[in-house]
Amino acid sequence: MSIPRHAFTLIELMISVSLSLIIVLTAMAGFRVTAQTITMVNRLAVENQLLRAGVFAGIEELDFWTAYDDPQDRSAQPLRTRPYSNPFRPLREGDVVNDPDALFLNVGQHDPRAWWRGQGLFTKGDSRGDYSQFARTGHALDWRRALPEAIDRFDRRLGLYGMVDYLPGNLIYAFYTGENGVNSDEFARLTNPTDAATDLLTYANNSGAGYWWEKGARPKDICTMTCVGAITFSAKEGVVNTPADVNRHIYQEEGERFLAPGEVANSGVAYVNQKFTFTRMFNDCTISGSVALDNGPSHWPTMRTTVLHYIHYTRQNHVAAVTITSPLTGESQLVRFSATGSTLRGARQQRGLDQ
Amino acid sequence: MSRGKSGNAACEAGDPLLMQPRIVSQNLAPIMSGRRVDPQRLLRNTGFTLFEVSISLVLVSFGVISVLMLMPFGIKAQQLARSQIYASAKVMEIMDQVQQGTREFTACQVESAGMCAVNNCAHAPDIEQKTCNPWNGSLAVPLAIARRLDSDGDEIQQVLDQGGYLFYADPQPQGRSVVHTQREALPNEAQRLVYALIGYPQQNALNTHPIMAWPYYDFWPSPPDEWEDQQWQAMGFPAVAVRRRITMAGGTTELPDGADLALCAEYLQRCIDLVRDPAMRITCTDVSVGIGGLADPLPLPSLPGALGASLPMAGQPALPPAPLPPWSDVYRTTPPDSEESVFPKPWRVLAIRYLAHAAARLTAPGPMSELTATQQQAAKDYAAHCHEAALEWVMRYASTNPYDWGCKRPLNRQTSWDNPLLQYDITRPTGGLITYGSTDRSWRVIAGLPADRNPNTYVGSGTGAMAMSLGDPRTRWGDHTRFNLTQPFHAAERCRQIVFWAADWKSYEDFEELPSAPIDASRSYFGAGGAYANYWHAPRFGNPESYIAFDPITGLNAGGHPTLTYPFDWHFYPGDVPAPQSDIPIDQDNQRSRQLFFNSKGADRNNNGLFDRGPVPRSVRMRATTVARFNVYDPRLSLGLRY
Repeated sequence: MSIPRHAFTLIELMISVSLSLIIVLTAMAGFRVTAQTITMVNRLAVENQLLRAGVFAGIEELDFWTAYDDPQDRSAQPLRTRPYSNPFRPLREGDVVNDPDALFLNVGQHDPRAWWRGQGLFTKGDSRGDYSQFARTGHALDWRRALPEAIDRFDRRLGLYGMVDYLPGNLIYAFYTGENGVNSDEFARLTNPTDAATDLLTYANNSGAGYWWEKGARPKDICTMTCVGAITFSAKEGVVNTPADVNRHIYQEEGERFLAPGEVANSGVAYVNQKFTFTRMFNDCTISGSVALDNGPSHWPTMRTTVLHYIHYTRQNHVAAVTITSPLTGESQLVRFSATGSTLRGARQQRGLDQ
Repeated sequence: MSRGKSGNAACEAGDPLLMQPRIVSQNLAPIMSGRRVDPQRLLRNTGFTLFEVSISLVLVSFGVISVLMLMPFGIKAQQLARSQIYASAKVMEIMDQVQQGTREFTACQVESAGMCAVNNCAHAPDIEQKTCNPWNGSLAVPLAIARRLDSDGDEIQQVLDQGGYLFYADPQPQGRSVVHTQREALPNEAQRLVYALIGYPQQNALNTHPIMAWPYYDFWPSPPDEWEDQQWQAMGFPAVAVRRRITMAGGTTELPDGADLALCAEYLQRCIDLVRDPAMRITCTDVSVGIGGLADPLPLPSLPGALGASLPMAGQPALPPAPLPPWSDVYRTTPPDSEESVFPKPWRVLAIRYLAHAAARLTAPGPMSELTATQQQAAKDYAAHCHEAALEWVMRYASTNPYDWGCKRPLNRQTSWDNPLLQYDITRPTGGLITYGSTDRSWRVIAGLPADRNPNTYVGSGTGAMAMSLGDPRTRWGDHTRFNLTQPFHAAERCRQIVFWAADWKSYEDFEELPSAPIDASRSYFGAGGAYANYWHAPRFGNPESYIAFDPITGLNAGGHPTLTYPFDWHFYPGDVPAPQSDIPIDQDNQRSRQLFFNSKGADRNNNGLFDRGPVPRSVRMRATTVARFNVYDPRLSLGLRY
């Protein structure tokens, strides 16, 4: 007896194929969704790692100023050897024992050498009297020349930022430079480099340019930086009053910091061969720089960490910005924050430059 | 007949011989054994039933769906990690602002007409006030939206019930003081963050007295100013009439440019008269010119005879006596100024300041051109010696007693923080204080030491312009014995917690339409009596959303959106400061200012420059996911790096 052979009917086959198709399509869709999700999660994870690393790098830089001056690498210390305005130059290097620079490291506010002597009501001119006789650089009496020369030498040696950082917050950054200095030209005005018409000293009596200073107001207004870029300047060394020159005097060089291959960055995330290019202290309020992951895949986001140090209303401001940008979409994510970082003086003390 | 159909028919007939081989083989044993087989049973075993398949599919679906549901968890975990990064950055920023106060906020010269009017700076600044203002990047979520947010333990609602705020990050990234000209919106994840301070606000030191932003400062030397004119008599200083003569005719307190020798000499003579007035009790001695260095004591030198003879002061004693320094034995032993050895009286410090200024004024080109070379040198020496004496006196004054407010403090003194310690006495009921044009109440102010002199505020000009109408200054003070700012405390007592949540609250349909969160009265520049403060500092601390507010008056712009106000400019509308150049009627402008203060038309809370409406209806409640918690230290004093 033979048993007839059975097979699927056409309908069964069609149903089976249809079901199979649905199953396959569903599986493919699920796979695609899963793959996309995993890709998205991985992308988010990479971005988060980059952001986290960038934030840590920013904090690290705000604390240690390594990109400006790497204490471990003499070739990465560009701010120590310029002819002038070196914020990381050792203060005592080659100086005489009674260096006025040391004045404000040790003297108290009761010391007459620390008292400012000048015409505070008007920024220029001698129509209100000759105040240069009370204090000026080169005065015969040391206590009449100490403060002007301290300001002058801080400015020359550390640059304007260093001068403001070191000297008391409400100091009046102005002094006379010559005997009988009754002319405005002999009054060392620290000119705003981005606006020649505006003095950094903005205590002009109710009518001065920039911020006006009200007689009787609080000392916060004495040195109001009308542009934060201003204090990157050395006012005594060939001021060029264009925004493009704001950063030139002190922080012209681009600084880079490389981690050796395999070096673990400070966040603990093992990404390698980072290249930090932090902006210099000021760049006319524009921050630039980048952190590239040289060994990362090309489709990974790029990350840029920048820091900004500035002093405004006598307040020390330390700001970091971390930007990651997708090379595929061009979309950027930004984390900007301020933190209580080290002052320049603190960074110098980390390096033992004030010994 | 198809094969399939015949097969089915055979099955239906129950003929086991016609069954498919697979079925036959499966059921061969009972057949071979000769037992009768139930055809229905054979039918039931032909395959999975629909029910079984359904169950299987359901189970498979559960599995697949479960796997798929894990995917969002991965995304959410990464989003949470992203939010935690933003939260960490934000809390660092907040603490930087708290630990290192912005001078614009903490040291602004803000003075109010009454104890409780219009002075956010002075009202016991806690973390909330330090961070929630146009500068420091925390803004309050509109209350109506905050009430729609659910959170673990209903923590958000508890904060609101206790009078706290739910904050959102300033839609412009921090660093506003540098980059506020750039419209640079926060990333979406950061804009979803909301946060609040857990734990009760704590009592901190006042930045300044609510009425008076002491200390005032001035250059040494400098001429008398209006405030000193007003206060000299009010504070009971001696020689009022002589002092008044120093103020030159014409209302100015400074000689004009180009003043000649006669005018400068007259000014100098009047200053000499004040120093020499017996009521000033400045004990004098004659000391010749030539004192240099920093000898202690450093007396005020006499006017050189040659110079004195040349001045148009014929018949008058031209030589000012040299006051003894404040630490002289004379002052130490002569009552009632026995404390003079430690603390010089403010009127004497002021008098010598005027004298030093007048002496320096003599060295200007105008008067100098009328002198011989010898006289010029003598005038310069005299000015230098007076200058140094003035500094000696005021430095002694400034370094001794921060609670004497009779004399401005010197700008020449390089000091970091010069504020006296003040606090509110919150242990006693409020009330009974004189306020200006309102019935508001306030706590009294207490200090480490009672203020010896209580001048009134700087009247009539500039940033300190407030009414001088506060009556008896003693009404400002409370019982100083309850002062506790210098008492020790444990750090844990000052601990608070900042909690971050993530919620897509900016998807609500009314997130830019709602007015601002309720504003503390201390931020208002309208007193309870309806008067408003006429100085430009106060509105800066008003509504923290002021710079992103939609203008309540100007209507829609060309794009059909409400018009944004100009950041930081709206408070300058003429109604706030009734400037004569205003073309806008005061009433209309007041209305505008009040509406702006309350942000009645909402604000551009995502900082895109447009008026937006989200897709989520206002009736929907939203879940806020806890992101992070940070314990923070709440300092009692306003701190700063190298103030």
